[in-house]
Amino acid sequence: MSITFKEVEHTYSVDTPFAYHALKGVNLDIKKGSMTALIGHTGSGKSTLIQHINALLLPTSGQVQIEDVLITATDKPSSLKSLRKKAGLVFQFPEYQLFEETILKDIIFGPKNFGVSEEEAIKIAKDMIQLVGLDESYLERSPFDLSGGQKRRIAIAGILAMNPDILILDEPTAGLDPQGAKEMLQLFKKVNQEGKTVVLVSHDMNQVLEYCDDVVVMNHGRVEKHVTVAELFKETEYLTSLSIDLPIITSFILELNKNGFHIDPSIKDINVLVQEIGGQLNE
Amino acid sequence: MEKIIEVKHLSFGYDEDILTIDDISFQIQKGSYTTILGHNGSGKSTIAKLLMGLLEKKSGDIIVGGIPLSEETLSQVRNQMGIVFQNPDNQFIGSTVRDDIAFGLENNCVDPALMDDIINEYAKKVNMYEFLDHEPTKLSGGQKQRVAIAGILAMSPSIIILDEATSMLDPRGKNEINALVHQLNKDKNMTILSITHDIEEAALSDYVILLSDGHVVDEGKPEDVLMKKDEIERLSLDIPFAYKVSEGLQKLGISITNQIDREKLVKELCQLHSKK
Repeated sequence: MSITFKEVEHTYSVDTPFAYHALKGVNLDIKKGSMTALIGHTGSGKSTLIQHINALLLPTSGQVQIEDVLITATDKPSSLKSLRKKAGLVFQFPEYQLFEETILKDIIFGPKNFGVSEEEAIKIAKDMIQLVGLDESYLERSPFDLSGGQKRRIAIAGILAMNPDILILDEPTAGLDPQGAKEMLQLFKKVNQEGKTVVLVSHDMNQVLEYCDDVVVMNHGRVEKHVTVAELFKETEYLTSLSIDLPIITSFILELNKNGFHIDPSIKDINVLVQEIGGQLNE
Repeated sequence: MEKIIEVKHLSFGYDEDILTIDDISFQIQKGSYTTILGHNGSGKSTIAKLLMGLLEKKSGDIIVGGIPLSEETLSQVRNQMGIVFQNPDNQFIGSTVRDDIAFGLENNCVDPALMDDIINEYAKKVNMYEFLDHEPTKLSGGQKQRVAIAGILAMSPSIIILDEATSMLDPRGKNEINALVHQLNKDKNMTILSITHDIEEAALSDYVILLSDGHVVDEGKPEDVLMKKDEIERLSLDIPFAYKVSEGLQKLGISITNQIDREKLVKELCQLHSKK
């Protein structure tokens, strides 16, 4: 397993009147190399959970294991640095975290901190800028002259430059236009297919269906479900109880099936759906 | 139909030599649900700020409810509109829900004796009455946006501008706001101007204005604008789901109307299926 939580509890401001029990007995195994969605409402514990993966937060009790690194309430990992290199966390609106004069300096900041030589870091930056869909000419520009979507790519290039095994993304496409969102998700899928474990926090069930393998559902600080994407979207009543909409394609198929069609609701691809509807109309 | 907003040859630039909004003209009808669609950086949010008089235009005219926007008429124009921004945390001003709704009323010199009744009425309208003495830290994003809308409604505007107001909300918050806005549009005949990337929302609106690089590139009824596949894709937007399906089926030789409305498409497909 890549990421394992055992009986993890987290309480903010312990022993104060403001104490808040954010994680309650969380058990979770996220497979190495998977692309896992983390879903749930605001306040369900998603952000608290992902901050345990790179030890920005420590459990109040229980244990978190990230590959060979163990984190408990009392045992801080001896080398936080190695853990931070292993698990790259991209917060919401990462473009706000850019700070250097040039894009090159921003991207090489992380690798240099981890002991990579300047020369090697520049080479990495050149690869990363292309990976996020921009060309090398951007490296000498100021990150502050770019559009919101471009800034976000630079921030993500900075995280990828540290070559983490695990990439954790908190709502990476919020505020992007559909084309920008699609390019971003295709990038994460590519990184995942190259062997990295990706954890994606998302409110968009269309994205979850199209790009993820597994889904973890958080509710009131607990992991309520950890299932495959196909299994999750079969549970329409459960999702309705959480006010989570089905993906557009799934709810469309269910509507057709109520009226005489017999279409597999786990179809993800619109072209497959069109063929299926066409087939049933021409039978 | 009566026009409530009229924009004529409007231009604006954040820098002296670059126009973010370049000679834009459009009209918005009273009581309509209009969407402005465009890619990141197309100038959508800038238009909202210009309409509210939060930015000063370089040239052109903005006329709201028959009043041309100028320094002298700023408050008259602003009183007709309320805006809900993207980030719920950036627009909560009061220390409680009650204070937040009261803020605009105080600024407008409403008689304090009347204020409690007004606050109660609008808090009830957005289903936040029981939260009146809650602090913002104890509210979800959707609840904060509802309070923002209550504050706007208390000022009795005829237009609400939503600047990607649901894009940072979780599904529950998004549904809450969408339901409230649709109710205000249908039942109270309020004009809604929604700035969005959501093509499915635009498909269900009355009128669509397509923006690209500071220009209006197309406008009209959603069924006319959103089926122009090449144009929509060129603007980094998505094609409505129903159109992708109906177009695909036509290519298979199935006789079906091009649709952007999923409900209508389901209906038509089910009729075809039952006739088999």
